[in-house]
Amino acid sequence: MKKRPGLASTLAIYRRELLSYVTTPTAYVFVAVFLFSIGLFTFQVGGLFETRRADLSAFFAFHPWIFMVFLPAVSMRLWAEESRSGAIELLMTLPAPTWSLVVGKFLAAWTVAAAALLMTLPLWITINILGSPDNAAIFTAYLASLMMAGAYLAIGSMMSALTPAQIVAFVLSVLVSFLLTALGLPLVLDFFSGIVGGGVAEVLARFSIMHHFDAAQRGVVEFRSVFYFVSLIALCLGYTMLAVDARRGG
Amino acid sequence: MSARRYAIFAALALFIAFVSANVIANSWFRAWRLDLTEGQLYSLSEGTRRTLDDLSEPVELKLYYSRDAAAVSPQLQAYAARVREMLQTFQARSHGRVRFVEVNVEPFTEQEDQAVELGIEPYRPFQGADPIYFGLTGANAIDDQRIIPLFDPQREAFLEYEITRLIYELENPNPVRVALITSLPIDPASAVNPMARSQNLFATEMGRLLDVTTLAPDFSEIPDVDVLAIIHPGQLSPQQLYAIDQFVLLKGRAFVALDPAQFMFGSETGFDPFNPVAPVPPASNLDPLLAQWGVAMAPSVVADFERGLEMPTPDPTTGQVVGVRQPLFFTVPAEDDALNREDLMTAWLSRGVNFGLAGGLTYSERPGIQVEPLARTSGATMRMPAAEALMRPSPFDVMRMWNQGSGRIENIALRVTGDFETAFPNGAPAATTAPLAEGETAPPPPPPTSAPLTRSATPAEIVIVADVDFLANDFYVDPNNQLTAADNASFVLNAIDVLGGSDALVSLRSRAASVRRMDMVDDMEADALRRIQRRQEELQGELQETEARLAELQERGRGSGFFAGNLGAELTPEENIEIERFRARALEVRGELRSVERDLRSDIDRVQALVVFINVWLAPLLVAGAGLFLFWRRQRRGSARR
Repeated sequence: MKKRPGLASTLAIYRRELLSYVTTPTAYVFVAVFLFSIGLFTFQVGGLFETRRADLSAFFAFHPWIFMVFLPAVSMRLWAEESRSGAIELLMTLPAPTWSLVVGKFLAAWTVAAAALLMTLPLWITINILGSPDNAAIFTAYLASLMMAGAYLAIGSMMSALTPAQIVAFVLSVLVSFLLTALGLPLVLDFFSGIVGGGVAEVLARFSIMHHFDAAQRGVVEFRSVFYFVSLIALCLGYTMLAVDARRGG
Repeated sequence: MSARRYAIFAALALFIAFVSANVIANSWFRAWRLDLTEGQLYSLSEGTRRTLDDLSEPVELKLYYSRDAAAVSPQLQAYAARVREMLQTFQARSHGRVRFVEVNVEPFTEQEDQAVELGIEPYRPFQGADPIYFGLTGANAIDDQRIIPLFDPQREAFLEYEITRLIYELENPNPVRVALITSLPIDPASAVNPMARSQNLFATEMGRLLDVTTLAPDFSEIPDVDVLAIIHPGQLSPQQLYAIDQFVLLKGRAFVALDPAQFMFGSETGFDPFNPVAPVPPASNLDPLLAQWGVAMAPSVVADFERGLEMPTPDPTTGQVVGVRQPLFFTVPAEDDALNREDLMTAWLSRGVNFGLAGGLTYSERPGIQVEPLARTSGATMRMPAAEALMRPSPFDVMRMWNQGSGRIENIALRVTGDFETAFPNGAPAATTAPLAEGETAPPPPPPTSAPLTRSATPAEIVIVADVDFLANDFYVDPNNQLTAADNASFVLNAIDVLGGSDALVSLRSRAASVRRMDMVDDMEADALRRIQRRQEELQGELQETEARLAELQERGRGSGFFAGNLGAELTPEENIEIERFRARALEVRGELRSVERDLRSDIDRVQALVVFINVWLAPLLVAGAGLFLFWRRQRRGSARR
């Protein structure tokens, strides 16, 4: 049987996955919950209206924390669901390289995250009606948020591939995402400062998702932050491939 | 190699590659960034780049920072990262002339002694905490030193300016040279003479920080200085105006303070507002130079009803002394962009600047000249003839003259930048000399030192303020403890200091992201406030009238003699009905007043509710609705198939 070229199979898997998201109500529920919670946090906790500032800092500030919970819920089914339903057997026999399966599924989940972000655009429009924000900075923050979403989804994909139970995948993803996010928090840094000294703690902070999202939130694209997100996605998808390969092999 | 071992090996290799690649990327690609903010808020500005390009000798920057002690303060830690990165960017951009090193200051070490000796200020986040050192020293090849004792996160907007300034001062160590033209008793020389201490804080500070030469009233030329300061110059001859014109064209740096109604230095100039025959101090102007720069100052003064300074005033009705806002003496606060938040001269002033009987400046657009307001009033203003204002009308009098809704935002201070043309196109004006006595020969005219300039040789930077009274201590210094309550002196000294810097330094701006307001909501609020104020005044008037009428009727009803104490006894039934009506109306008006206050936010609340509905509820409901519809359709299809 002729092997399908990687890119074409990536596209095929992407389409199949995306269709499964669009046709099942679960994804809608997740997106609705995401939109509701981000709105609630922005207005109730961030006090976007009360500050009277025409910027979206109150909106973007909560992205890491909401993504941390919402995106593992989207990604937990990526591989775990296939294992549960038995579809994994079929998938494993497909004449497609492992990477195309992994990338195709990841891109489909990323598209769902992008669609969820896209649905917050009314907020951008609202802020433009209320005042004159720095739109280039907001655009940069949206792109950074999308990159960050990719990183959380890649973590979720890795965990989903490592365990056959969706709920375990979800819990593990949230845990790892939390650790990577909170690494930049003073509480965590204090802890590390006490053990390994301030210098090492600062280096650790540079591996925090939050640290790399900060500059982008202000409207500055830093190459090293782009590199961090891309390499984190690559690392996690690499681990996903190893896990899937192990199953294929086994 | 077994598959399992291969997987473990690959996972380990991936992880090591990830960590090491990121560590390398963090240090190698530090400067690779794209600043997409409007106004490039996070990039080195042109002024800094020019200062670095112009460096003639190497500079060593040493950051003293207590890494471990600062771990307790995340805010400071984040700021330290920003400072470090900026210093590294300075180093990278300096063609090897700036060297940056960091010293980790730990308690009880040689580094701590060194930091203290150099003047780095320790900061303790709470009592008993280890001191945190977070300052910078700069040294050049001849060991000249400058320091920033403590980097304050509150001043992040000025970080670039402070470091550039430090480097500039190492290259140009002398204080700014200023020539002062004034008719006021401002004597900066007294700062260095302890026997003749001036009472004027501004003059003392000026003498302490700057190298000031006060020009004699009959000056004919301006010495070679960095900045010309003109503060209420008095009557200047055409030759003197010409000298100023030529200085501005040649050097381009001037600070000008003029006043349509100078009164605070009145006691020293013989003015007494309570003596009708005392001479009124003359207004100062700088025509025709101002006209040439495109700026005009009207001979009237500005009253600001919203930002008037409170002063004890006897109430005309009760005679009691109460604190009332005097619109003729007003403050320009640091908030609301009343003081320019982007210009270094005003951006860091946090307490506002107080003015008194100030003039209003207007300007016309001219090619090649940019004008930026530095200090502006609120929109609730009125202009009053200077002579009338000098008679010190009470706040009540001024209030009575105000026609609500007629005001406009007035400029009290402007910064004018650009290339000027001379105000004397025909060259130097002829000198007016005393008639010669018989047999006397006219002295030969002084040889021209250089050809007269007709256009700016250096782009001009001029600051014009329409007040001089604000420099009097009474406007910003507490007489009890000599502490300053407003940034009046700081504003002028800072402006002269900035003007005295290099072109590059002057071009630097505050790098704070200027707060962008929700203009629509602000406008709605201002509009609602105006409406409510009007309605409140109407209702208050009505309430007072009603209460007065009620009191009058009650007084009449109280009576005397046999019916004393029986309120209704001496009144006609009609009057009793009127009393009841007035009582009811007074209650009604009070209720209406309360509801008017409540109404203040109703429009804004409606907008907020709409914004929250659209952004919190609408999208999730639509998405959830779509999901439910899908679920329902699938269920239906499923049951149809069965």
